[in-house]
Amino acid sequence: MLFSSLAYALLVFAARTLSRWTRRPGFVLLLGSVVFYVVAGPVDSAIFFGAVLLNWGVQYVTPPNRIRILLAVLLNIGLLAFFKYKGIFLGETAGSFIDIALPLGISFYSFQALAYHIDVVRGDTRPARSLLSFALFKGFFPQLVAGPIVRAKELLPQVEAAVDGYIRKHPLVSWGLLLCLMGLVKKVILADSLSPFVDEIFQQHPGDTYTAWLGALLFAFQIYFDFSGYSDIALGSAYLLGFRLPVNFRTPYVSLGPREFWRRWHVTLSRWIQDYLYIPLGGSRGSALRTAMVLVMTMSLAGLWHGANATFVIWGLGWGLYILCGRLAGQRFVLPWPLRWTGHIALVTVLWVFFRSPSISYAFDYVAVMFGFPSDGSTASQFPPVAAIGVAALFLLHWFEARCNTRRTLFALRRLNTPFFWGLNICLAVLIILVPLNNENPFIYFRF
Amino acid sequence: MKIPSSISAFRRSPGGPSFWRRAVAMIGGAFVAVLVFEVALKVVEVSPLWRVLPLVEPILGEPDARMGYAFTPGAEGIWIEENRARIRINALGLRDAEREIEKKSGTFRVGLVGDSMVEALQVDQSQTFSAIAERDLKSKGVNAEVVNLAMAGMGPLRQLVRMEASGYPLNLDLAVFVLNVNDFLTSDMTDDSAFTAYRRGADGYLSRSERFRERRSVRLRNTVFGRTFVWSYQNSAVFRLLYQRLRRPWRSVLNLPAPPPARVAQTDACFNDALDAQFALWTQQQPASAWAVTAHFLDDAQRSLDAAGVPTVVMIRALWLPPLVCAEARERRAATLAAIQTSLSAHGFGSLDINTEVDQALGLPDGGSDAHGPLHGFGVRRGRGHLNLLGHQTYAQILEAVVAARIPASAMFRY
Repeated sequence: MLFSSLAYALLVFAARTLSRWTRRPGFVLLLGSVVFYVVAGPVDSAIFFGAVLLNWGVQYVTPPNRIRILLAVLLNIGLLAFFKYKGIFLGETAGSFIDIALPLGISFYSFQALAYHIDVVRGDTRPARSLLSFALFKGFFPQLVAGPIVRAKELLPQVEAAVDGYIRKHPLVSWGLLLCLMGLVKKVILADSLSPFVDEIFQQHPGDTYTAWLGALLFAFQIYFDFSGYSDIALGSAYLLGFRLPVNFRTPYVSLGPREFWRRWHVTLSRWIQDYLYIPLGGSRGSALRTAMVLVMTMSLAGLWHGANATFVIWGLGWGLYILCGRLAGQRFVLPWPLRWTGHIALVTVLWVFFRSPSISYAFDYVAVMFGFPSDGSTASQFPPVAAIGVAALFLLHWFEARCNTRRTLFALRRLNTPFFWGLNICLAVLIILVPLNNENPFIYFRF
Repeated sequence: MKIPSSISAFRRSPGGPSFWRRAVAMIGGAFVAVLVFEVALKVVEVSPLWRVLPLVEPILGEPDARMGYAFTPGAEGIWIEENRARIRINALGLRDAEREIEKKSGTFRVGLVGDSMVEALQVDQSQTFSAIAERDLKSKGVNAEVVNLAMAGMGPLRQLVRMEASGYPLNLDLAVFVLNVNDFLTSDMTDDSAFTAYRRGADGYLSRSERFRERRSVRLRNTVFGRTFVWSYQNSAVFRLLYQRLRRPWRSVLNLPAPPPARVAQTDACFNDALDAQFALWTQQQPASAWAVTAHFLDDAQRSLDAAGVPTVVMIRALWLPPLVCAEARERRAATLAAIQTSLSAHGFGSLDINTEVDQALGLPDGGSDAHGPLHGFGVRRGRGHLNLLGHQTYAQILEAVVAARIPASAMFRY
């Protein structure tokens, strides 16, 4: 079920209404999650609910020690390896009995479950009291498919309150509705509009430097609008259901360096990687060489998490090296911010080429064109110079979003928290949902 | 029974507005949202953003008592499927440049009729092959007008009706039909629920039937309600959006994923199935019911066009040319094409096969639908069906040759 669909809007509305009218809101929300997942298909549902039961079993049969962590790692990473990385381990598997499409959201719920077990063993959070609360924690539908990757200590107390019959009634309904509306604008109006141009450029291979940069920059915005739009809808609908989820995006393209970028881009994944990979592997405690190796390895694994393709590993490796260079440079080379920003965005854009490309050789060819080395058979640009103004407008829009994303906006919304504003938001959201002619643009991160 | 707290919250409370006041406020908000959305879409339409941002597909026509459905004169919109183009229907209700009904003396006027391939809403008016052919003819000193009478979905009989309704009044010198041969095998020729079709009367003879006139949309067209409805969907993007979307199946309205197809059809590289059906129709007159309708159409068209005194050429479309390796299929195709051309010639119509002409224009020795791929489609994920700019240029060459071969000396410019 797409977030940008009328079916999802109706599901949120039904879950919100019923969870307030019944004494068992937790059960209603779990039922909503079941409906959400069943729409994805029976195989995906069976895998998801099987994973829930197995993870619950791990907690049930093992004491809270390293054995539980080991079992949790084996189970969740095993699931990921089986469904996502089998191609790497087994080679070509087409036609084999395990040739099943990647189950929806497996990367996200596997990481969430793993973090849960580790947190329980560490004593950072209390274990779930019942299978119902554990299932709702793992399957709460606004964050089920593509995050945010929520920590147990953030979500579990809210889930258990709902299971106990208490659902928090957030007063600022306008905020939840506005988040959903912003997410729809980002996804339907912006990301889906950029998508055909990006596909066109990447499919045909750019013929000149201008087109190559245009394609890469447009993809940078497409993936941002797509994923942050999804996250906004997730946060907004969770808020309307009485839950708070952590923020996942903070306008990353206003950052001035790699570390700041990762504090703004897919924040919950960055936090997961830091807490459950980077620090356990040694973090910045050892020698400079060891720190560098850990950093590069961690980011490469983060890249691999996105898919079983070497392009993602190179993307992660590139980020690791970039962060490392940023650290080494430290305060020694402080450039004026316009230069820092330009250089940083250029590097981010080049790295996105690896993320988007079908193969490493294609990506290197593409990057070569970006830097003025067109490959054989390149064609002239079909895009007019005015398209560059469009890219500039996208940066301006991004900057404006960063300026608006403040507490002051929240305070202003308090004044707009009226039925009139709710009606305005709901109607606009429904109209935006109805606009596209087809549903051929699922969220990019759904496939991870 | 205890009322849940959330229901009691809807009742009038001392500190807040009543349920009804809230409901009215929400409806007011929804109304403002509709206005905001309408204005936003208008802004997109008139700004350069129309090439990029989402828009609502235009509806350029309306129910029509003669045709079943016809373009509204002066209707405008931005076509968004496959490729975006600004469309304007001319004052005569044609997807064409503005024309005078009265033909200027010395002008050779051609009426071109066909389906969506000829209608060509995916490109600007000046880029359609009818417009290119006219331009090229004029540049060569031929005083010709190529009037585009096409509309999407028009099969053979609808093309004939269109020619009679909109072509004959233009005093044409040549009629060009672009016929998709597969249309002779569909039920469109005998289904009169939406458009004119042939029905067998009590006497056993086929005749034109216009039962579509009983449709509510046609009956109400000239009432206040009908006029308001048409005006609304042609002028309000929000109205059009709701009208278009809510007519779809509920699964599509809710954006639920479609069920997987029951069976994936095998690719038929030699087009055997399509060619077998055409071969049976034109050489063996089978199925008999389809041949009866086809033969009746040819007689009907001959009577009509002879009465109007318009010479006619039929451009045969979609009789796919198999690749060289499919020798048997190519033979069957050649026999089918010969039979079609014989039938057309017997009725006084000239004819040509578009596939062969396109191969010659492109310098292709072989054929097969893949060879014509570059003529169709507008890029990745933007659709592949209709003619692109190269396709229109190629088709223009073919049309230009058809017209040039029939130009009298009086239609040449005098310098």
